[in-house]
Amino acid sequence: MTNAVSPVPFVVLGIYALIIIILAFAPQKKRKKDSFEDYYTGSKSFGGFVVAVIMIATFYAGSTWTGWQGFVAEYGVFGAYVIPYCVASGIVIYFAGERVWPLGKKYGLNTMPDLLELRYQSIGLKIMSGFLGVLMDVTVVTTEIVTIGYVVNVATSGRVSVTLGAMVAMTLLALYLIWGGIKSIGRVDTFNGIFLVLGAIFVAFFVSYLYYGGVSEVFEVALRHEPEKFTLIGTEGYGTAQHWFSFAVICTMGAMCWPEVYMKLYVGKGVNETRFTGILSAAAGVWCVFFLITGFAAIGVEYIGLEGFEDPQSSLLLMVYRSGKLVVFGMVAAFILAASISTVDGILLADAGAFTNDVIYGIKRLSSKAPHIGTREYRTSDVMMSQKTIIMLTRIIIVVIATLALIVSQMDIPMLVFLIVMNYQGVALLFPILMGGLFWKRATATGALAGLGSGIILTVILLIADIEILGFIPGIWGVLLDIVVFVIVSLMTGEKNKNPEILEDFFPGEHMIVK
Amino acid sequence: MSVRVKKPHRKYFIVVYIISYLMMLPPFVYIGDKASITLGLPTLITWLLFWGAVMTVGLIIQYQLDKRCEKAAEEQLKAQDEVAAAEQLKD
Repeated sequence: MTNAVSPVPFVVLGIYALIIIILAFAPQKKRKKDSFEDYYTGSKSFGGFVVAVIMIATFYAGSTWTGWQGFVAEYGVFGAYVIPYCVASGIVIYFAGERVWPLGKKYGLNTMPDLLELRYQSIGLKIMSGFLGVLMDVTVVTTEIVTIGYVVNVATSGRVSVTLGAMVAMTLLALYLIWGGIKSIGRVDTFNGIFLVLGAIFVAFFVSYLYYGGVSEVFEVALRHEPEKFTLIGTEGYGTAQHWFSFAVICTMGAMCWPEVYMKLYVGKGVNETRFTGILSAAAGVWCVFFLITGFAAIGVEYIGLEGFEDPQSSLLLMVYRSGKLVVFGMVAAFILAASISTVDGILLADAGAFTNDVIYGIKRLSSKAPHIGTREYRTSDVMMSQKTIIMLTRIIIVVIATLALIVSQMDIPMLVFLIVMNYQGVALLFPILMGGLFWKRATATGALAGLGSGIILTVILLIADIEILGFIPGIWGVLLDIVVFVIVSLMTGEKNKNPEILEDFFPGEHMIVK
Repeated sequence: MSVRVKKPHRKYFIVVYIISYLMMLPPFVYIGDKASITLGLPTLITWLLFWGAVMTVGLIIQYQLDKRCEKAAEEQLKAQDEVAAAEQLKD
């Protein structure tokens, strides 16, 4: 293969890396040193377009063009479950975001557990939810590291190993996160987001026209030879109503609960910026059709006289590679890398910040019986950990998580989609208590703790035992138990809120503007 | 001073979102579950894209209406302020 020695893809990747370095390390104006809120949420000052684009960049990982691509090639239309869940999660972001943002602004909130502490006046719940979010996220980082390493390896024709490629990329990521926090992410991921949205559209048309002569021809070839991949019923092992329902619903619930997605609700400069983010996120659900096209293109290759793929997860890169158009190949590799980088940087910052702010600082506050966020005592209480220390710890944890994820990524990892859906089942358990806190006045801390705790236990038991009751995945039963226990215990306890003024901020009457 | 922002349109949009979402879940999703091609795409994907587009367009319209209602409420609040200020001056 002549491609094997060509430096072109490597040069294209180099240009991409240079752009990222320039954007990431650009000097910052109006930088508030020693402010965690500024480091983590940019003092809530981002414009609507930037928030929306970085949300999309975070949400659509590089594994979308490896793992999901392979999933579609293997299971056909079942992969389209992303459409209902991505569109619906945009709507959830719209409705929840317009309630979350004003509270974040008023009380200086940075994470979802901050909001849960404010609503339920419980640091225990904060620690539990913070830990769950971070734990679920770390595995996503691992899958993305694999993608990064793989893309660099393929783009350099094997001259850079998967491990070395992943290490170099993770070092760059960690450095710019330490340097600029969310502001570096803002610049890098705005570029990455635009690049990946356009890249996905381009590559879908490129592959379709090059190999099949058109988009509809891609499907015609696949339909002629593998019609079972066009229906849910026909999808072997996965085409049940229960599985479709489970995947769509669990992912709808989990999408907004990822720490890196939720933190974006705070970074906008107003409610309308957050709403706009919801709209663009919903629209991105429709845009998902482009990676479904490339997935189907991989199904038909064997029937148009080309060699099939041993691992369907590498099908897109190999299809472009085999075309011999090396600049295009380099660009496709770069846009997959853009998708991975923009997910990993968001996750690393969100998780490191959440772990410091919600878990470490939370435990310290819990052990010393510190007052809760929003109370008068909280505003006047002694600061147990300075902003400088919290930022420093966050930076250290960025390095720790990156290193841990790199080590784990060296292990044998199952198909990426299954791993991520498993994580969704964990993080979706936060959805009932978050929505209950925002939209249900009678929700109580005891109810939330009991609901979340029982949901976690049931999901873990069912996952370990590998049981799917009535054909639904464990997370569905976990969320169901979470909701039932949360509602019953909340109604039974009916605790009186010690700070009615906080509750008033959560439920200010029907859309009231108060001057 | 406070003023109530009425958004009567919201409940209709919420109904549209719920119906659209249900159309993408079993049993309704099976309406589009056919081994055929519609508008150049697998029928199921076209079905899902249609309902996804309904939800997205609905959200865009709702956003515009929400903003219009909030603007009207802000103007009402401003008018209330001006009346109050004028009365104060009179006193």
